[in-house]
This record gives sequence, structure tokens and C-alpha cells, in this order.
Amino acid sequence: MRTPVYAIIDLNTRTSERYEIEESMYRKYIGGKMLGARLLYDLTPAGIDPLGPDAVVIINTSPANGTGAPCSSRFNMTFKNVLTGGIASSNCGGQFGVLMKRAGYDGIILRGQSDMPCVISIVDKQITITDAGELWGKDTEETQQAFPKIYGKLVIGPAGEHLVRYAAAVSGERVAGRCGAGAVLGAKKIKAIVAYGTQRPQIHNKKKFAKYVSKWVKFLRNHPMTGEALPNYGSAGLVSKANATNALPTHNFKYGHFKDANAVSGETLADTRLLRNSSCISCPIRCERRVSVDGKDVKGPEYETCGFFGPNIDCISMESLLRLNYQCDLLGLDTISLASTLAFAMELKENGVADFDVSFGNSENLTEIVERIAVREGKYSDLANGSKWLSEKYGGKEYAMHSKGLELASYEPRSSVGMGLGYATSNRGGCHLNGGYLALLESVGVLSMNALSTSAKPAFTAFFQNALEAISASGFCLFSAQSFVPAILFKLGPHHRVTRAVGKIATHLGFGVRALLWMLPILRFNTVYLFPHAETLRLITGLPFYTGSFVRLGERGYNMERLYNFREGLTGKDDSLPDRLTKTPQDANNPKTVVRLDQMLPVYYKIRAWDETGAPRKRTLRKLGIKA
Amino acid sequence: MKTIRYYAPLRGIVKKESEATELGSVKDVLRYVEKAYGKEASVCAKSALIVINDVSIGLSQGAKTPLRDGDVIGFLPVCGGG
Ligand code: SF4
Repeated sequence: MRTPVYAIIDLNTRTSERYEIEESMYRKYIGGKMLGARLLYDLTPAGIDPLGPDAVVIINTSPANGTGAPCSSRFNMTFKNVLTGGIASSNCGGQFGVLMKRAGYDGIILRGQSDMPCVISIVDKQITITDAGELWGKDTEETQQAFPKIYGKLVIGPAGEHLVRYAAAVSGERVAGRCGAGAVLGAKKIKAIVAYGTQRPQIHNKKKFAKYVSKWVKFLRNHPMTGEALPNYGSAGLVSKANATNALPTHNFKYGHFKDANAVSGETLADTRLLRNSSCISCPIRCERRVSVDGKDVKGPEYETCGFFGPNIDCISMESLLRLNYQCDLLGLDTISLASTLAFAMELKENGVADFDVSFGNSENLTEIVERIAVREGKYSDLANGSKWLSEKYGGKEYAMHSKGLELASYEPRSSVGMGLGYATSNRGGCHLNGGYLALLESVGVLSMNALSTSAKPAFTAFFQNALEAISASGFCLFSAQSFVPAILFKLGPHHRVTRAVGKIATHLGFGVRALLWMLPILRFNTVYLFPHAETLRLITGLPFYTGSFVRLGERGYNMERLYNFREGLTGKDDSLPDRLTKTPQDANNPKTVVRLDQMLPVYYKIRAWDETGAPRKRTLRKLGIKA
Repeated sequence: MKTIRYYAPLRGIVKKESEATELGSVKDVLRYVEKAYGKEASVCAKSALIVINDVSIGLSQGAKTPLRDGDVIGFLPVCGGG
């Protein structure tokens, strides 16, 4: 069996060595964020500074990358989270991952710190490190233009160079946005990593794989979610859906509905600004928006960006939102953490606590402020540290909208309480995807579980956290999983009695999902209707992955990440949300519109077989084959 | 007066973005869409996320939700993924 080949690159000495992943480790952790978590745990001692010389950054691929399977271009960055101090994994759909694999490496492990800004080049197995020269200081677009078009590139912009704690790394126009991926490269003085090669990825059963891929592509194209909704509106299509169910963060999460949200919705974007849709490599869904900014054809905004540069700061200018989105890509900034930090700063000003020249309803000066944040100019340097840091300095912890230090995504959890549990327990901090993304079943999808009921939410959260973990670690885009909701429900619509009945039943299916989690070892089947990823992974690797063992794989990854967090001092106490979400009802007339973490967390820990402090029990780790 | 607002794909079938109406409930509007624009439009309207003043009718009385003067009823394409 061919096991993944990595390169350890030492920035201190500018040398590299080949590092082969042991077969037993490969079988257990497969690739991407899961293998990344295992390696980070093993290769670093506890308590290091994520931006210090001892920090390790892992950039890796997964078995599916580059194989031509649907939505399989996503690569991963794992490192110590700059915002939370726990685990960080940041996923990106740019070309870099596929080309690094073609260049002969499944991953690279970056150690040490260069004393001069540098560029790492990986071409046909050869690794060279050269000075970055005048590239340092340039934006992400100019930096990438300095290299041949056929190369895969991963670069940082000025924000990464200035160690903005939520700086992003950029590949093409795709972004590894969250947790400070750009800052950790900036700390090592890496301006760019480029890769090129022609090596083909190995596929265990090529014939069956090709057949299965065409079946899966057909299924995705015919499914209303992946064949119509996402191609037509992209993720931005969610603005109006979240608004319709009071799940759209407004005025720094004070409310869940914005009366002018239509101005920045996916429908308005499609009607007024969309040039065409596009995609990452080998993706039949094509959710990417192409829009024009100052006459330039650029990648358009995702849902989070529309929500956070729109309703969450009380703004309705599509023009300014598109501009800010493009500016963030150029500077290398995570739009979620940046915009949420700005909303927090606006509320600080509203409450007379601190003034950073930003206020709700005014996006006119934001491009100027964002430019200053990216280079940490003057007082704006505080804003470059994120909302947790700001709240510790200035106060306002109850409305600093993060969990563990990572700003929440754009779903108001008081109208999606399971999403609230997901945010609180997500290993990398306030992330909807790492959190299991229950909002899709509670408020923004076709199915509607009772969004305010805590019943069944812990079981569903654990199940989907595991499933999404495995999908991501295998190298697939998580959007490819959205076809698990049966197409017939989309055809009937959200208000049809059958759809409503399914939602109601799901709200009481906690025990069923718990039973499913116990039964994972015996779920030895694969179907294109649930997780086609499992069958695809089986055909690529030759390893016995079935629906059950695939979800179990994700469970192992989730526990591995949790173990890392505990080692770094993040415990059950950090499975928390700001008071605004747990103590102040969204609807003053409905006390149920809060996130009852006190009710859900104990059940969730039990389902996960963690102790009452939220720590994975020894026997749980043993069962999953995780060595502490 | 109330307004009916159409979004894709329904807009493509009825060939208009919006129209004024005096109908009294969501049910009446659904009936009107079927009568005026045919079966295909009706199926499409029923499978949409129906909102009144941007709030889902699922949070009020569903198809029985009454329409008041000045209300805007919209048929949004169902979608997800963020
Ligand atoms: S669905 Fe969108 S984000 Fe995912 S791989 Fe396709 S184009 Fe990229």
C-alpha cells in the first residue's frame, strides 16, 4: 500500500527531508484535517506560541484530491489556532493542493522561522527556498502573478505579513480563511508556496471508480440542492432564507431579522451583479459567483460575507459589500472574523466604550479602516486581534460574538439552537461546519426540525460533526454532502405537510440517531443517497470504508482534535457562547429563543462518551484507537 | 393593496417580477397562480419558501396566513449551503 509522502521543511536551515506516514497512522487518520491533527499533536509540545519559532504548520492533501471525483480539490492547513490557542484546520478549494500532490508530496510540514521573507517552491519533488525579495508587501493577486500560471500557489497578503490574527492564506481566488492561516505563514516569513508537477494520484480500483464518479456526478446534477440552488445562487442564496426564519445575524447578533436584507441577498446578487458561475477544480456543483468590481471580473461573496458586511452591521450596499469582499481577498483577511470584529467595535462605540471610527449603518469608510487593520496601523491594530481579545481589553464580553475565540459564522443560533450547540462544541471555535451545521435542518434548509427544541439536537450534532469531519478529511467539499436531504422534499417544498411531518419526526429522533451512532460498526453499506464519499474513498484507497466506518472515522478525528484542545488548556468550560445568546431571548415574548447549552451539553457529552467535564474518557479513546 | 413578488425559477414561468393583488390569504394567492399561469407555475410556487414581508409563513399560519394591506408575499427558491 502506498502511504502518504510528506516533506518536512525547516525554515531555520532552509532544508527539507522526506517523511513517510506510517501505514497504521494513514489507515486511522486518512489525510487532511484528521491526519493534520494527529501530526500536530505528535510533533509539537504543549503550550507553544502559534506565531513563535516552535510552531508547526501542516499543509496537506487527502486521498480524493486530484482524482477527478466530484468536489475533490479541497486541501487543508492545520496549525495551532491563533485566535483560540486550540486546534486549527482551514480548508481551501484553490489549485495548490492538487498541484502539490502532482509535485510528489501529499503534504508539507513547516518548522522553524525564516529570518528573511521567503518563497518555497515545490517542483517535481524538488524543494527550494528562496528570498521573497520585493514580493513582501504585495497583495495576494500581485504575488500570485509573479509565478507561472500553471503553478499552484498559496500566498499571504499584507495582513498575514503583519500577523493579523485572522489573516487568511489565498490560493487562486480561494481562501483558507479561518483561524489565522495567513498569520502562521507570516510568522514564518513565508510569502508564497508554489507547486508544480505531473504525477498522477493513485486510485485502487480505477474502473469502478470512474463508473461510480459518473453516477455521483449525475446524482449531484439532478438534485435540486446541488444541481439548481447552489449553481443559481451560490451560498449567498441563504441570506433571504436565514432572514425568513429569524436566523440572520443583525446588528451584531442582537436580532435575527433585517428588514432590508433583500438588498444584499443571493437573489439580488444574481439579478443585478452576477456575471456567471464558476467552480473549484473538478466540481459539478459550481457554486462560485463571478462579479464585476471596478470593471474587473472577480470572485463574488459567500453567504457569510453578505450577512456580515450587510445585516450584521446594518448595511444595505451591495456595491460596498462586493468591494470589501475583493479587498479582503487581496489583503488576505478572513471576512467572517474581520466583519464580526467590526460589528463588535461598532457596538462598543454605540455603548460609549471605545471608538474605532466605525458605526452601524455606515460602510462608507470601511475600505479605509480595513486597509489600516491589515497593516496594524495605530489604534486599528487592536481590531487586528479579533473580538475576544478586544472584549478582554475593553469589556463587552457578553456581546463579543465568538466561541473559544473564533468568531461565529452567520447563523443566529437563538433561532437554531442545535447550531448553537455546534458552535459551542466545535473544536476550532465558533464554526458552523466544524459544528455539524444543524442550521441546515433547523432554519435555512427545506426541512425544519423544531428550531427551538433542544430535543435530539445533541445526537444530530454529534452525528453530523463526525460525518462532516470524515468528508473533509477525505478531501471533499462539504457542499457535496448537501444532497443527503431527499430531492422529493425540495420538490414538495418546505410548507408541504409531508416535509413538515419529516421535520417534526426528526425533532424526536434523538434516540434513533444515538442508536445509529452505536451501530456504526455494522452499517456496512454505501449509497449515493447518503455519503457517496465513503464509497469513493473505498475505491480510491482500497480500504474498507462503508457508511458506518466512514462516520466512525470522523468520530476518531473529532476526538483527536478534542484531545489536542484539552492538552492546550481548552476544556469543557470553553464549550460556551456569549451571554447574548444564552441569556437574552431573541424574542422578548418567547423565553425559548435562547440557546440552552445547560440542557444540551450534558446529553452531548454522554453521547460522545466524554466525562462530565467534557474530556474524552480513556476507554473512548481506546475504542477509537487514539493514543494520547 | 398587496404585492406578489416572484423569484427564479417561478419568475421564468410567470414572466414578471411582481404584480399587485387584493387577494386575502396565501392560499388565495396559490390558487391564483395556478389559475393564471398553469400547473407548472403552481408546482413551482408550492415548492418555494413562501415569505410575507420576508418572514417565512412557516412561522405564522402557513397557507392560511392572511394578507394585509401593504404586505409583500414572495416565493423564494429553497436553497442552503454556507
Ligand atoms: S461546491 Fe463550490 S466551494 Fe465546493 S468545490 Fe464546488 S465550487 Fe468549490
